[in-house]
Amino acid sequence: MKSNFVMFLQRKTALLRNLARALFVAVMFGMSSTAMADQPQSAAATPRSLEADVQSLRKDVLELNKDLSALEEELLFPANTQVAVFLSLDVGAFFELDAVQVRLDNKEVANYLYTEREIAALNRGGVHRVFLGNVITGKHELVAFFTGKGPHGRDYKRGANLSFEKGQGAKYLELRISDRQSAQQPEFTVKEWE
Amino acid sequence: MKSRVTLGLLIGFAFFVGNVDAARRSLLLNPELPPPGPGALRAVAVRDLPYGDALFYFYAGDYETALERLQFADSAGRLSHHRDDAKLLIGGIELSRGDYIEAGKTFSEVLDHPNVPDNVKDRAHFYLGKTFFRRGFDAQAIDNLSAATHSTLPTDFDAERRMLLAESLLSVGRDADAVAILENWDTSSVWRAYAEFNLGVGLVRSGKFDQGAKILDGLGSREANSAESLTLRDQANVALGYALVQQHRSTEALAILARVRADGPQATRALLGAGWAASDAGNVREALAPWLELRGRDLLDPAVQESYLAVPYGYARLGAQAQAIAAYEQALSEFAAETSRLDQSIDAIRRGALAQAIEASAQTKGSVLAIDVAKVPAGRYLYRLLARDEFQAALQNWRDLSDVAKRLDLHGNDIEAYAELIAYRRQKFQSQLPSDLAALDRMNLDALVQRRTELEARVAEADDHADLAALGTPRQRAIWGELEHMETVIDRAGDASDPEIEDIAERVDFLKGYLYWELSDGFKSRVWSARKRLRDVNHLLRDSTRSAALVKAARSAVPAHIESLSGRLDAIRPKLESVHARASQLRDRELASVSELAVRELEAEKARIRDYVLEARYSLATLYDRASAPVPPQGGPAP
Repeated sequence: MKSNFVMFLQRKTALLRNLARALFVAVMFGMSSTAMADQPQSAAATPRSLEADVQSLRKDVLELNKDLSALEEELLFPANTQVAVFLSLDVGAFFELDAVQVRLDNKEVANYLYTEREIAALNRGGVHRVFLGNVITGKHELVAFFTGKGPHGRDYKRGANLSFEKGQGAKYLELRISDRQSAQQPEFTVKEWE
Repeated sequence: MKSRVTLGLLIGFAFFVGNVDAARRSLLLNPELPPPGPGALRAVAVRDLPYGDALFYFYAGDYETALERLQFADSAGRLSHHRDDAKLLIGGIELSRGDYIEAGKTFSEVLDHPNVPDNVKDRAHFYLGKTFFRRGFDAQAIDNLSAATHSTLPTDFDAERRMLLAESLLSVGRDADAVAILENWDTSSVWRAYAEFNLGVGLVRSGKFDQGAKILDGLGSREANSAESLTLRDQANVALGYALVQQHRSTEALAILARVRADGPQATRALLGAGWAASDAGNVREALAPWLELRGRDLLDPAVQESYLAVPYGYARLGAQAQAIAAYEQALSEFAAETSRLDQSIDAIRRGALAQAIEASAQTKGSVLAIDVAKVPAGRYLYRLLARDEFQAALQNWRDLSDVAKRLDLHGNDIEAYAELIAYRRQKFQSQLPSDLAALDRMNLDALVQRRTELEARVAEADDHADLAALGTPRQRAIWGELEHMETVIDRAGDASDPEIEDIAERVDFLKGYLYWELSDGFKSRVWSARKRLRDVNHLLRDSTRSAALVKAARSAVPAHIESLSGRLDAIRPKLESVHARASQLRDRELASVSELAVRELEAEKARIRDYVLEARYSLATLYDRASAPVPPQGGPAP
């Protein structure tokens, strides 16, 4: 004869098994993998509303940043004096960039040491704005020094320069490092953008 | 007895399904992987530098800065050549952050433009399809993923497109179309492996066992080289093995489960399944070997937990009641200790230990937040939680919000500096303007312009009439004038026969001739120099005229501009304060949510153990009941 405790456990276990079977059916046949993938969106009520609040905040922050950037540029770098210097890499088989120094009218305005991650970003097509500043209208000279590893892994330092005329509009200059296949050497140029 | 097999299958199958899903989503949400978009952009030469600048931050993993730069450049009209690329990039970042609705809007905007090139169309359809897939809109996902077929997608994107399309098709019941996607698809692609796994499991779930088993078998027997492929192969074998056990095809199940690597993360599930397969075939003694092997392993593993019930179950089936009772009691003791440790951990988390560990980890630099869970009491339970996407997404949100709050702090400083700058400019302009205007009046530009015009006329006249003296040096012009004056005096004297006067006239003629020769030599060069100097004067006058016009225009424009900047700044200030307060509040809520997630995870763990405890108690009670009955024990000898 079974004890009451055992009978209680039997009933409880039968209940659990039924629950388990229901869950099993749900897991095996009910939910598709897509539904599983969407679970985070419909998990609990609190995270969902929190997520919505976070998205809304992100939007407002971006909007605010946009307004601030516009104001900052107008205040600090108005177009009639603005000059920006960018750096780009094309291929880079003959030169591994470490750092760049930019001199404008014989004054050092930027000195940037690149991380591996940033070099990878340049190699993938990113263009780094090395300097943003102001100059008066008229003639100016830009000189850039690039340091890194040249062909055969040797220390390598090269320069490039450009004389340019600053007009009323913003001036964009691009320091470009590319490979000169014919000479098996890197090439450093400065391009003036209109 | 079958109910136990079912329970075993339930736990094993439910866990591997959950884990694979997590594994797949981890791949999609891995912060180390850039969100979709950049691969196809590498081939595009950058034609707008601000776009390249945003790409730089994007590739460097700083998505917030990339997004800010893109949106600012777009609003300033500086992305004329990369408008569509920029939209795709913005949408890709939104998608990676889980902002599906905004991402969907962004991609739809790209497709709404007329004359969209095929490569842009393909990418927009791919992302839009992915967005619909993530939101669970399968029909729209299928439409878009099927439309991205101009062969312009990079290999990885196309592989992911196929996988998502196959899963969407499976979701709407188009099994044959889903399976057809696998045809002509490179078997080395890890995306194909994910697609095969999900299709195989989906088909088995929907009752199409043979079809699903064939796909899982193909994946499970394929050569794999990468860690990811090996894990997927093991998961396919575990899935198929459990499905075969469910079909009571134990011999086949054992063969499939034997393919699972003994040192891989699926090994415990394979051992548990192998035990159930042997048990189902009536070979209980064989089943005990893998189950006993599991008992020595980490009790955090659900397969190990289940082995604590499986072992005494095996003993009981063999009639070894004493061992069975001892094993159940050991299981109850282990489960009780585990529950107690879980309680400790839950209590510590509720008292803020996890939040503190997360705050401490934020001090260390790096793209991945390394939380030192050892600082949380009984923190070992949290390692599995850390690997979950939901937890990682919440952590990432918390980290983003912390960064946002820091940036907003800096913006607060900037705003104060800008306000000072504006005030300084206002004051400077007001004090400077009167003196500038007075200097302008003194300059009398009109008179200077008039003098320049007269000089131009004089040079032209000298050139036309070969007036050599006009362009001579002041000394030459003085001597020439003196000699002409002397000639006049000689003429006035009238006596040409006077030898003295004649001598003087001859000397004057000689000197005039000499000076004429000197003035004519280099005359054209002097005309050219004079004109060049006048051109320089023209440039200077033009600059001066422009400056004068600017100063005059500035008299009204500058105060208006300064007031406009001041107004904009005043409008930004309250927005900044409001956003800053919200960011700080959300950051705290997110941290609380992370802790809550951890507690929920541990409570679920406790609930599972509670079920095991109930099962163990029931079985133990049954055994005691039988032992107290006068009937001798049934079954084979104990091992």
